[in-house]
Amino acid sequence: MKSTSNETGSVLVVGGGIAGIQASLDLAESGYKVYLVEKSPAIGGTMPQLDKTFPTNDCSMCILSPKLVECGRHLNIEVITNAEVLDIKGQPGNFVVSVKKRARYVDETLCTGCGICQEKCPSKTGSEFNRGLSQRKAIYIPYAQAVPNVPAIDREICIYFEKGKCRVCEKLCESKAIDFTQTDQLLEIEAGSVILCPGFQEFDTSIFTHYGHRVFPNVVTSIEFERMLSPSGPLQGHLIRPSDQKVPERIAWIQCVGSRDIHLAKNAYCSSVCCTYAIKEAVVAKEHCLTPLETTIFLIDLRTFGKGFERYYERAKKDHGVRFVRARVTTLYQESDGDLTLRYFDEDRIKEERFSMVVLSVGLRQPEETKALAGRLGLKLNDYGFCETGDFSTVAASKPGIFTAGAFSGPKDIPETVMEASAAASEASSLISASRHSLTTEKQYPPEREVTGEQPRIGVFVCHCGINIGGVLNVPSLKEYARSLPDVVFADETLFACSQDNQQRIKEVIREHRLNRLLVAACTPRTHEPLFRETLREAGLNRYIFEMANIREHCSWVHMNEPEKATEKARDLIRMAVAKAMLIEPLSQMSLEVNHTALVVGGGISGMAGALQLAKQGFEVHLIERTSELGGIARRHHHTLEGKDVQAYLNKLIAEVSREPLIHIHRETEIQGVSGHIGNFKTALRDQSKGEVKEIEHGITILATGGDVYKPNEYLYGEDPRVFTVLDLNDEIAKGNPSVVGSKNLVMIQCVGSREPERLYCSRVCCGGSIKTALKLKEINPEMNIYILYRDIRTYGFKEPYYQEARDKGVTFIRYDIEDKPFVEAVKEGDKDVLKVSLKDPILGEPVFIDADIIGLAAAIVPASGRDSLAQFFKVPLNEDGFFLEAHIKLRPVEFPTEGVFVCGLAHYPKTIEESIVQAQAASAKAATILSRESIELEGNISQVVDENCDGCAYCVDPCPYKAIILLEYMREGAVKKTVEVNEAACKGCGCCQATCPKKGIFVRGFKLEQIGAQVDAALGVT
Amino acid sequence: MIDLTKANHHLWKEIMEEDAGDIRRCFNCGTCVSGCPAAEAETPLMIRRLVRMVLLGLEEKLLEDGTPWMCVTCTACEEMCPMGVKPFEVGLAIRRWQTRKDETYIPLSTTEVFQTGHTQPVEKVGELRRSLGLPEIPPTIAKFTELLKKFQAMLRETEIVKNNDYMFKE
Repeated sequence: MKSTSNETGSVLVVGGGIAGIQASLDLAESGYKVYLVEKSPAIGGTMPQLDKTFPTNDCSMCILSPKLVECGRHLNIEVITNAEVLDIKGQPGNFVVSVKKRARYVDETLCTGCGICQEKCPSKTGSEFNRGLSQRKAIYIPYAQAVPNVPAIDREICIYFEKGKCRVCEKLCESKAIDFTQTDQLLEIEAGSVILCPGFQEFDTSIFTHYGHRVFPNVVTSIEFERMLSPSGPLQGHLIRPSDQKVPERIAWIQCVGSRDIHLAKNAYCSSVCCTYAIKEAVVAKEHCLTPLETTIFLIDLRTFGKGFERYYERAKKDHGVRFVRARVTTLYQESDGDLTLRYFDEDRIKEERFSMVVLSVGLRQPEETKALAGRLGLKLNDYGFCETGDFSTVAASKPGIFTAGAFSGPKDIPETVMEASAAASEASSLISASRHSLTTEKQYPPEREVTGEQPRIGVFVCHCGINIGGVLNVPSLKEYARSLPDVVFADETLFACSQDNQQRIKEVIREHRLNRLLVAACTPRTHEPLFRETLREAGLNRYIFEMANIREHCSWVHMNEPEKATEKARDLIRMAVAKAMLIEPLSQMSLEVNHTALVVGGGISGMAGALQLAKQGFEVHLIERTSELGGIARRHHHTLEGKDVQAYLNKLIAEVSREPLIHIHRETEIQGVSGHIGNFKTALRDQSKGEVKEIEHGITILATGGDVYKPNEYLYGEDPRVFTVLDLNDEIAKGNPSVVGSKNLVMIQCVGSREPERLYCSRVCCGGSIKTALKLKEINPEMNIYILYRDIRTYGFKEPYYQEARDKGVTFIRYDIEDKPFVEAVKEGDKDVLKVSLKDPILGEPVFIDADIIGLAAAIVPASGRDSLAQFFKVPLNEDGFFLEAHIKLRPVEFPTEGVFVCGLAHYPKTIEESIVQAQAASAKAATILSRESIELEGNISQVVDENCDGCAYCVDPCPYKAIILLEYMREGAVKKTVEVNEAACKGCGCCQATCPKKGIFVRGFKLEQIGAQVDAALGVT
Repeated sequence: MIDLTKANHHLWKEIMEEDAGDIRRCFNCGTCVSGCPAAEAETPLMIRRLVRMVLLGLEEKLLEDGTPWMCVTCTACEEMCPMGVKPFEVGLAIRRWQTRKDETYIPLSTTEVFQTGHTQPVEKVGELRRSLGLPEIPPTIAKFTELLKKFQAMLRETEIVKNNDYMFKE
């Protein structure tokens, strides 16, 4: 696939946070060279600073770490730290980027990361990473798992640079890595396209003097609080308050600090993430305190609009007892013991309450330096100082060939950032797809050393995982214990087994001690096994001679209050893993050719955007739509909240898709059956109009099956013709229906069918949707009285200013509680028929009623029908609400556990058109990483038949969830022999067959009965 | 039950004419009350309620409400309001609107000032003041009989006292 095109086959990515890391990995995996430019000495961005992530409460560092290491050691990603972009010249496809790389004064190739320089350096300053809660030296590694794990010298505070002498680090460095002769360098880098992901900064609290941040020691910002909670932070996760190191008893969060404030903060937008992170911090803080902790969140509107967030909020309230108070607090003062008294207005009176600590939920903003970067590059910024993006392409910056991902274009959470990163990667690469593979190199592994038949030589690494493990278990004693076990020739402890420098060390230890088995006692293989397997390959060993003992999730986390017993259990777990490690064998993997065609299910905006993106990258696509028309639910949308013309965009998209020779559109077509697996699917399509069935072959599938509108059974919908859904109302407005546009009093009711026990999710788009409709009506008929009855207004991000505009134009907003919903009845008022809407106004605390002419219901978005059979066909899960459930809500938002199948648009969760397009592009980027390969390697841990034991009873055939086993008959020694056969490409190694087989006729490689048996024996102490 | 349909939907305009700023931006966050010293007055001033009445057009209710006169004009609400609503100005505008709307309107605070020098009843804090060794009633001009007489004579020159002297007893 080498090309002769003139475009440069590389992409320059600016910013090494999760957005930059994800974009770099996607691009490098699909055949492009990547330069990742990061201004600080290490990549990672904000995620390493966070303790847990919402809504799964996964450890932030733990889920990021494998990606960090992968990025750091990827052959086609060149990480350039301590560097900033000065200028971009040239044209899309052939940019030349000037990058200034500041001198690190440490030779990255010589440094071993031993840390002696940091330890002995005499000059200190506040650690940026720990937000000043701890000190760092002039020579420093920003954080423990930093990539690269090499220190840098901060010229500003280094004594040598200040006074001309010191050089202690240089004297002590055994590997002679300190190099004071280094100078700043100007690099000229050629790149076909550029992705900007410089991230964000939190609001500067200094303008809010009334909160007393940095004056009252127990007032901290949310990011400082994350560092206080983090096991790798300055408090090692033991939450104590700054003033007197006492464990807090009551903590308050104050929301919207710097957000939704056009007066002091001069910010009209909502920062989108603070509500959910405050909930997370409140829940997690309770877990960090051994004594009872009361948590209270003070808020204006609670905005849990993302997937899984509403349930998270409900759980926080019901299961964790987090208190939510609807009041904005600006008055607080410090008591003599360091407590803080908050004064707030609760419903009808002033209350004063004392708290041990106050956390300020600071919002997200763009710092001056990124604004300056945008200025240098000639990029437009929006009214709020964020990067302006294209109308329906939210990853395209205002200059062709330059893309953006993450918070640079607006406040957003991690999953959206990850989706944008993949989308930007897809856009950036479609520009230079002719030059794919032109600058990349294949990774060369050393030849695999044959270890079969050797006496086991096991090496054990016991991981502290910061204090996650080391804070509970006695790790040094575990190391000693491991060393005492049979066949263990090496054992050591490590702070973070997954860090990049430790991979290097593992390889050295393997060589030095001629290990032929590796055991890591640390966390879960689910996230970290691939990382260590890769290290084994790089060390010239088979990747399957690896075993993990999970002493974190299965031990230190769940037994944190019983360290001694937990250490005993960890000894058991390690002994069991060693027993198995003695018996593990190298496994081979089958390689399969990849079919380069894609199947996209659903012809709405998501499906079409995804199909087009893949076609632009040169892949053939089958796009199937079950109705006779493309467009999906977008056909019913006229304008977006921002005033963009949906129909014009849709028609353009349909025309582009129809014109594209690589896209085959199948209308009125449904899926009848699916067989195969990643790289080689076979799908039977049934053309409903002709009644024909045909089979297509494809390498990947994108599910973009869209959503539907909930049909309300409340508020007289379907009974009274004056009650519409808001979507219907928009049609009536477009038609100019006089009874709608000419009505005097119009009421819209929010959350109809959403945020209810049977549909415990927020439909995300309805608040903005109803405000859009209200603004449209006000434009047509300014005298109309419009009332929006809501539970929380969730105009996140840059939608917030439209909420303000609606109020400015006189739209009345009245809040109601779920326990006390509005009541609607059709009555005669004098000689007029009206819809009487009654509810309580919470501000006055009095019942009010409106005689409405028209009612619009903001009905929920529900997943489209037919999803159950699709879920079965492609073996992918649905969540409790019927939306497709992705592989990981945070970092794998478009993938499934089943490889080669992707999801986007409303099939995943309610979202706006722009967000659907981003997700579609992200899905196509992920798909491209597979489609661009000639072949893929299958997993080695799959089933294998032992023909001599199998008598063909076929017990295993039906339980196989992947339909990977078939019954066979063949002639052996003149007789019919029955046996089963495993389709290796379809098998996932789940083990159902092995569990049902009565004859030991089938087993899963790596999980043989004798291997599991050895673990059981070790657990029971039988030897 | 308040009938919002029959409310005066132009009330905010009448108030705006009194120079009350962009009152319609209010999103009921309660900041104004959170920092308001008059929110703990004997008849508490809940400025958010007043803004709400204006926005919903509840003319009669607003006319009857005496709390705008409890404001001590510290402007804390105005400094902190995230929407730049200027609740303080709204309060003053309501005062003007009330007196203009009803010529017979005599706010309680004017009679209080006339009699005690305070704009509002202050008995609520008596105990706290005593515990701190302060006189229960904060001293004003009323402490000096001669000066009080002069003060009241001065007030009698104003239109409001002149025209309603039955309300102003010495």
